[in-house]
Amino acid sequence: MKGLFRKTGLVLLCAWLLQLSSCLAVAIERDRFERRPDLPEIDILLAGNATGDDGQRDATGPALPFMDLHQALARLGAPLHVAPLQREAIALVYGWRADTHLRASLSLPLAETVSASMDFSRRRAKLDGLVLVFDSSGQLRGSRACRLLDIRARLSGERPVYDDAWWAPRISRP
Amino acid sequence: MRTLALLILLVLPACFMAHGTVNEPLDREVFASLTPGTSTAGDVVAALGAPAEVVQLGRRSAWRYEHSSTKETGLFLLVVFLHGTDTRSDRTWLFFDENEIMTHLGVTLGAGRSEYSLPGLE
Repeated sequence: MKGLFRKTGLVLLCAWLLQLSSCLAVAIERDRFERRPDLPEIDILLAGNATGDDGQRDATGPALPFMDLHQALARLGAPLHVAPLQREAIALVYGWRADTHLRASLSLPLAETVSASMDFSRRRAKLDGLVLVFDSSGQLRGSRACRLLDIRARLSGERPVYDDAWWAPRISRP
Repeated sequence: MRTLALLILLVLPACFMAHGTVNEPLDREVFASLTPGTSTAGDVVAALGAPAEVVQLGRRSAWRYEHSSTKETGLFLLVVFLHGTDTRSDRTWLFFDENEIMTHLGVTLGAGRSEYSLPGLE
């Protein structure tokens, strides 16, 4: 008799859990897109680098991993995007993402045609990016970290000038 | 034993793996036959076919070829859903001057290294 109750209880518990999942759900989602460039000096580029009008850098600054387009492509591989800038300059855009989202949702049927639901999600990071700017002769003129959403908006309109204030180092992300 | 069988029955129907690709993989040997400063746009088209994107860079241009691989894994554990997605690509950008001579070449071959994985279960 006791065994029968135990089995019945187990079946009821399973049924309850199955039914519960229809209104309560916790999702852990990981989304990876490409990888951060495997380059020891990547932080120097992400911290932002601006060269002067004469193309020379401050000798006291940290050494860059490359100074021209050919070397950049050899070290970093193909970018996600290539965009034209004014004066025949170009921007190479690299991007990667490693997100883990925790999302919980609760949905309660209150009446036959009415329900209440609550959804909470938290995104730890969005697509990270690195922008490299080269002048018409292929010399590196600037770099900066960015979110690709930001850079897309900037590059989709009128072509920016590569040495305007936007390329000056403002973001420093280790 | 019965409990284990019950657990397996509950969990098995709730997992999935999926693999999606876009375009054909890029062949490493093809790039060895392309030489910056020598190869022309015609050589590139003959070797790789039509590009996925062409960007005009003033008088110059850049062509993109790409193949991507996405691996997806999911596991439903009653009220908990674990889900992992990994996308990696084979991608190349080739730069041409105004005479359609290839000047620069950048290649990334990563599509074969996309992974099936779930958060917290590495």
